[in-house]
Amino acid sequence: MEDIRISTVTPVYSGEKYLDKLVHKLDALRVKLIDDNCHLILSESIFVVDGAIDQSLTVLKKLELKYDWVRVVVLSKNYGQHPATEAGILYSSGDWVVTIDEDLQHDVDSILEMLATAIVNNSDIVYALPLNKVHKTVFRDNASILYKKIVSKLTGNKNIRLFNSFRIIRGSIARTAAAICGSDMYYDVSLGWFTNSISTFELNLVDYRYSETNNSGYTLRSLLSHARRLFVSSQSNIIRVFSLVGLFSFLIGTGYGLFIIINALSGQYNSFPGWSSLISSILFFGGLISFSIGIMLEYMGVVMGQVQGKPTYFVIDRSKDDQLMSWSVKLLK
Amino acid sequence: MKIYRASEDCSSSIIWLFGSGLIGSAISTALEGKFACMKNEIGVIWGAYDQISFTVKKIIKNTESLSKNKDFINVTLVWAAGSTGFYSTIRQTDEEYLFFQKMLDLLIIKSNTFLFNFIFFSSAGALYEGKVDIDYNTDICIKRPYGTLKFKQEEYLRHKKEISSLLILRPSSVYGFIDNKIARSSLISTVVHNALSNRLSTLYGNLYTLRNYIWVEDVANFVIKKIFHFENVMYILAGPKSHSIIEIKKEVEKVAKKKVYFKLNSLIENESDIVFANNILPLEYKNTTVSEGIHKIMQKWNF
Repeated sequence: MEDIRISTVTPVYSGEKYLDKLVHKLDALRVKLIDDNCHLILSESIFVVDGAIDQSLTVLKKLELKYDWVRVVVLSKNYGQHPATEAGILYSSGDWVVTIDEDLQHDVDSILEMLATAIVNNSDIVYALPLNKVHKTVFRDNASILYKKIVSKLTGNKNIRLFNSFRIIRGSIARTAAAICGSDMYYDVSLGWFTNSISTFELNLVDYRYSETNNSGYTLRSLLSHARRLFVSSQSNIIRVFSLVGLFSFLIGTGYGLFIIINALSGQYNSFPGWSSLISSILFFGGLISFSIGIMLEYMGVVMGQVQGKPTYFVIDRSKDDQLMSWSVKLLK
Repeated sequence: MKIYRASEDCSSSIIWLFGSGLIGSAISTALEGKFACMKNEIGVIWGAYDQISFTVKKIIKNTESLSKNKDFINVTLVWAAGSTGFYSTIRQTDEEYLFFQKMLDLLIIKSNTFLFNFIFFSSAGALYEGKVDIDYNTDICIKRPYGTLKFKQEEYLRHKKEISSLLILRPSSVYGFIDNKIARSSLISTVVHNALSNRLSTLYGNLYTLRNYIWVEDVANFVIKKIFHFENVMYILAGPKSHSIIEIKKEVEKVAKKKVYFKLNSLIENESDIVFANNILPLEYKNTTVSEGIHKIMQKWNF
């Protein structure tokens, strides 16, 4: 029986306090898998130093020397969490890739249950679904949920509500999505181009960093940038709404214009001179312009999809899952 | 094959280079460019057993005429030759092995005053097919005749007493450029060429097959270093990062500013990932990233 390999990917920005503990937890998981002899191995943990502002790199270099399965990738500057995660994924080779935050917010022990959930549900992605309020602040927790709900409604992408940085992804999909993902693309949106088989795994998430320091590691600016990236990379239904409003306005303008002309020709025109023609012109041309822009944006959406690498199709091999089925069922019981 | 006399001081005054493919050409260029070596060229026809004896005599005669020291000649033999590849049949690989063995046996017998340092190009892909996280402790995994051939060739050389030092190089997916020889220029070069000429590339595998690619000139430069500072050892030459084909496609499209189109051929199986540990390269090996390599190929195509 062939081993099934798990890779973990962690973007690192200011995690010097947590990295040692995180690697020890990963090591414990690695040892457990070896002891269990279940043909499942944690083959590598990739840490992507994304222009770290503290001594994270020094800590990781020491850990890399101590553990041969720890790999450190250093980015030339701070690119942000998603590009860093994508870089790490492109360095991975596991059958499954787990993305995990640096600050112990994500429980390493849940990785196996998330994998088992993927196997049992025949899924390609499993997102962690927090049972609790992660950040312990009303604004931060609710703003995130509300924003995802709004974008989900506007874009028609139901998966957006599930997006979480603690996820397990089938290796081939993870790497392909990371390879084609453009610089301003939200990684999870591009994952959605490759699969609809998405599950969630409920668990408690705790933001230790926020609890200890009242600092989440994200500035308001970076959160807004994150939000912008999500909105821009999702194909927005709102464009269609504007197009339809434009079309409606154009049709009303046309109809009203015809109505005025007919009335004028039949001598029944009794409105204030100039008002009706002005309104019908505004409706006609405003509607025409809005509708034309809507069509252009639709074209742009198609072109953007192509530029960003949206695939026509993707072939997947899930045959290796069978060997983990009984293990997964047993684990989730 | 080509015979060189090194102009600088090195462990061997004479270099025999067998092979004119992707790796052989790159070594030849590196030797000529960096060390201004003198050379003689002798044609070797694969499978022409009746000509082996004549060819061997010619090689030895040429070597003796090039060498400064006529009593004792130190030769570095670089074997980067081969007529078979990943998809060859047992019959084809058996024929290659027989020819390889006969050629070397005769060369060694006839050149009894020569001392041989041997650099042999094996194949990491063929010897570790389907393995992941490969390092020097990884067990060999052979799945096709080409792997058996490479393993047999390595074993033959290891047991050849007349060879004083043996350096075995197991390169992973080598890519590079040979002038006007698209078919032998490796996957990446072919993809670049096809993209530039709006042609379809045939892919034996799938878009997410992982391989560690290495730039042929890096391999050639490493060989030159080893010719001058010989080591009796085995090295795996594999880039520190594995790439999927889709990553290569994206990179080529970015650099070439052209679309890459693939036709998938599933009749020939070559889908399994072959991934090497990131720290496997020798310390003195200078690695060119795939992105840099693609840029270099573009330059060579004069774009």
